[in-house]
Amino acid sequence: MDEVELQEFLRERYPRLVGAVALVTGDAASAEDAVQEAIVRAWERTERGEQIVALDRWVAAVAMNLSRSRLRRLRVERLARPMLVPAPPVQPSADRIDVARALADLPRRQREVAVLRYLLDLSTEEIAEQMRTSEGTVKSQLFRARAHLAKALSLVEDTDEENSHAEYR
Amino acid sequence: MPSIDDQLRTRMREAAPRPAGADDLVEHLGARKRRRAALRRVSSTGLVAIVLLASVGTFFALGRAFRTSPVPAVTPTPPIENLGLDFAICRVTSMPITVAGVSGNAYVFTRAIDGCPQPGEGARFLAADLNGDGVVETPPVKLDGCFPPVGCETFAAPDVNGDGTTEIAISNAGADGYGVWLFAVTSSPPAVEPITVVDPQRLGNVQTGALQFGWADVVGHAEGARCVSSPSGTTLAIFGYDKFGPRTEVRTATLRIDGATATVIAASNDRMPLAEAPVPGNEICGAPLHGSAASCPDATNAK
Repeated sequence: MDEVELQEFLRERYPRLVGAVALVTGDAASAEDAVQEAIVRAWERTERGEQIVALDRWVAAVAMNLSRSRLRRLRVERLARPMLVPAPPVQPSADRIDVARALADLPRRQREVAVLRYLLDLSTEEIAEQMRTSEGTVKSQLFRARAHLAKALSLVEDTDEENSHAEYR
Repeated sequence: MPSIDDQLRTRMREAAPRPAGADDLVEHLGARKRRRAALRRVSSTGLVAIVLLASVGTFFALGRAFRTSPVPAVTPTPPIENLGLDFAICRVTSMPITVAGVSGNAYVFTRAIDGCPQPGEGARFLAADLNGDGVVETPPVKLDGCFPPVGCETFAAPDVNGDGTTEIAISNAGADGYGVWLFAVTSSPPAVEPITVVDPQRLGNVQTGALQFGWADVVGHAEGARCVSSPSGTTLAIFGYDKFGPRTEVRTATLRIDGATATVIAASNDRMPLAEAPVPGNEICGAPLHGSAASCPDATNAK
């Protein structure tokens, strides 16, 4: 990965990857840190001549794994604290709070499946590969997550049969 | 009206937090990469220093112990709470691995809950650090079938199919030998998973399902595994035989391992003098055995 490729990746994929990890963990700062750490590891590997297939999926998988580590997160936050500059106060929109709250009510794996599907546009097969589980398990988790989110966000199902084809099927 | 899936897609995109725009992100990541490299160098130097200091300390401690002082009481090792995991761990065994040419380590450890469970008890896991930074990248895999008094340990890291990536062998010490499981490790995505035996031609001499084999050389029987190289690639031969006379019948299953699948490609029962039968030693496919198995075949001495 040369600098041009890295810049393109950061421009095209980085914001969405950070958003995805943040929606799963509920913590934007540690999500950004996890994604950056994953990108640096990918960079190191490509410099050593290793080929990474589907870089964005690799970074997403490593960042999700890293974000699971509460201890690591605490350590990173402690190290980063002196370097942090207070961000300008941002008032999150009501819609953003609703979605975050609805996701937070889901078990971690259902939350991860939903975010990978709807935000990163991964297929159920790709999600199964990333989460080391079967496609059937992903579909059932996606089914439950979708039902919960639709209810929590008061989403209305289209009665038109063509449009109501759920993606977990 | 858009479908629920499309509505969810839109709502999630609107709700996803956006990172603060950073024009110098490439520079920031470059600096981070340099810090990681420096940290690795410092860790290596520190490890060498610790080993040297420990060696010197041990030398003087042993000298004193052999002169006059009584043996000091052993203090239990406190649980190690690192490897980047979000739970406390203890009883860590490790061994070096190589994944696609990059050095790392495989770890077997116990989850510590209100202290450290006895050996062979509690939940035991396998995970791998793929770049040697002391943090495991693969999700921990729970190990079943670990029983007292020794429990599961890292056994060896052989490259059983010659692809440049080591497989991870994990053992559980039994009464007269070891039960060994083999795991495949991948870096993209980071994962370890049990290697599974398939036998499409029904050749037999090995159970299908999770690949496991015995490692023992005691009175009455012997079993083990070894690599066989040929122009078509490297295969793993699992063998076992009884030791009751000058001749024996060696049962062998030959497996071609690709990723996490081991396919049985040959099976045989060969009569031969006992002296010519293969013997399990303290290495597998050129990789040394670790942990209590390093003293193999004296498995009964494992503690």
